[in-house]
Formats: sequence, structure tokens, C-alpha cells
Amino acid sequence: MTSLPVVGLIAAMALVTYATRYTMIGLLGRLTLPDWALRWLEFVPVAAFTAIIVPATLAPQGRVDLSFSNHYAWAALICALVAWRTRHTLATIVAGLAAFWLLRWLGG
Amino acid sequence: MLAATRDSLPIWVGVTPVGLVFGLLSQQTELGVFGTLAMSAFVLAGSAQFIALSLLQASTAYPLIVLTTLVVNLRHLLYGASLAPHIQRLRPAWQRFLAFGLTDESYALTVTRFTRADATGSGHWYLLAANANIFTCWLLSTALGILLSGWVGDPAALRLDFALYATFIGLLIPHVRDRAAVVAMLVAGVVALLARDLPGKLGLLLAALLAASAGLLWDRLTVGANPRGRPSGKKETSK
Repeated sequence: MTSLPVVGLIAAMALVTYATRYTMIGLLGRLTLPDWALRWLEFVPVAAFTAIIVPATLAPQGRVDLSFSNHYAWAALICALVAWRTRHTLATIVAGLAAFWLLRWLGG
Repeated sequence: MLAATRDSLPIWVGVTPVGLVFGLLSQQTELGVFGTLAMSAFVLAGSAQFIALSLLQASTAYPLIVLTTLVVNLRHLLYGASLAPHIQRLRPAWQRFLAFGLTDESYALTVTRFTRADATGSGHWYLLAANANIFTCWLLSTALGILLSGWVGDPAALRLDFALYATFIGLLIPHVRDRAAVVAMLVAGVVALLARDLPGKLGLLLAALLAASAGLLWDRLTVGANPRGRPSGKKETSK
């Protein structure tokens, strides 16, 4: 069964997430974020996703590996190209997984 | 209500595989079946939940996962700020309930609608229906993913962890709409790579904070040519 710390983790995650959703609605028009702050917030998803993807795919074993045997890096590159051309999340996931498995099958 | 459900159909198609992968991957962590369903029901934030999974797999301390969740979800402030004027006249209980279901998808569906529906005052029903559709789809697909995880055998052998990165890439690229976003991406990548050995994935937070600031800085430095800057509060100019 789910342990107590995990229940606490989920509750805390739910709480901070709800806080981000409700805060601005609750504050209504009483406070307006300056333009630069809103713009800063717009970069957060891009920044966070990239910060996860890059080390995970370029250094899957902990050290930077750009050789052909690093399937993560090459499949991620193909994935990014498909995402860029199609702008379609599902197509990206399917193409990325297909590329990854193909590379693994080719490279052993 | 019906219109929102109809408009949500492409989102069902887009969200279902993401929820499925989340349900599948979650079973490699200590979340278990109940924890995974609870997270999808109460946190209801795809990006943050996926990031939480990868942090759990790296045995990250829980407080840091919560902090990362907060940072990743800060963008909701933007959606809230943008929708607030339209639901301002509703009772507070209504507002709190609508806020719970606010996601990237329901925001994207609703924000264009509100300007038109405002005249009839039915915009909040549309938002409610969009929220309900996304909630249902996310929970069902998570459950389906958990069910499938029993059939897949040893998920590590399939290297489904790559599905996580593929999903991230699929969610990331549409956010990259201008040069400032590319700058943010480059800074995030370089800092994250350099800081990858920091304990507890602190490198991720550091990279995200620095990268968002770099994007903003680039924006401000190049904004001279375009003094009116960018309209704030609105994302996705076209869909």
C-alpha cells in the first residue's frame, strides 16, 4: 500500500499546484504582475523541460556521450526534428520511440 | 457544455497517450497504484507529474520534488491572471472549484472562448466542461497505463524511460516560438549539463531559473526594435 511519506508528497504537490492555480484568481484585479514577470513565467516550461531532457539524453550514464552508441541522444535528435516539423505531441512520441528501438536493434 | 466536450476531442487524443505513459512509468516508482491515481486526480498537471517521476527514479528528496513542482507550475499564475477578470463575478466557491481544474489544455480551450461567450455569461460553464473533460481523460488514461504495466513485464527492459523524454520533447517544442525561447533553451541545456552532478537535482532548478531569466534578458535587450514588446497573458496565437 502507499506509504505515509508518499501520501504526504502527493498532498504537498497537490497543494502547491493548487496554489499556483488559485492565487491569481483569488487576488483578482487587486494586483497585476508586472509585464516582465509574466514574460519570465512564459519561459519556465521551456527552461524546465530542456533542463531535464539535455542531461538525460546527452549524458545518460553520467558523463557526456556523443558517440553513436548513445541511442538516447540520437533518438532525442530525431524526436526534436519530428516535433519541430509536425508540432504534434503524439506523432513525436511515436516517432521518438520507433527511432529509439530501431537504433537499439541496429546497435545492439 | 456540449460545445466544450466537442472541442475537447482532439485533446482527448493528445492527452490519452501521455496519461498512458505516465501510468506505465509510474509503476517503476514507489507511488504504487493508489499513489499514481491520487497524483493524477489531485495534482492534475502532466508536466509536473512526469518531472516528479524522473525525480523519484533518481531518489530525490521529497521537499525538492515539491519545490520543483511549484516552479514548474508557476505558469498557472499566468493562466489564472488571464482568466480572473472573466470569472470575477462568480461566487468564491465557484472560482475555487474552477481553479482546481485549470490546466494548459483547458486554458488554451477556454481563453479564446471567454471573449466571445462573455456576452451571454456562459463562459464559466465552458471552462467547467473543459476542466471536467481533461480531468476524466487524464485519470482514465493513467488508470489504463497502470493496467497495461502488468502486461509489459519488466518495463526497464523496454527502456520506456525514453518515452518520458520523447513526451517532454513533444511538449517542449511547441513552446519554442521565438528567439528568446531558443536562448532560454540553450542556457537551460548548458547549465543543466554542467550542473548535473549537484545533489538532489538542484541543477534542474538552477538551470530553469537561469534559463528563464536569460530568455527574459534577451527579450528586453532586443525589444528596442519593437518597443511595444509582446502582449502578455496570451499564449498560443493560433491553434
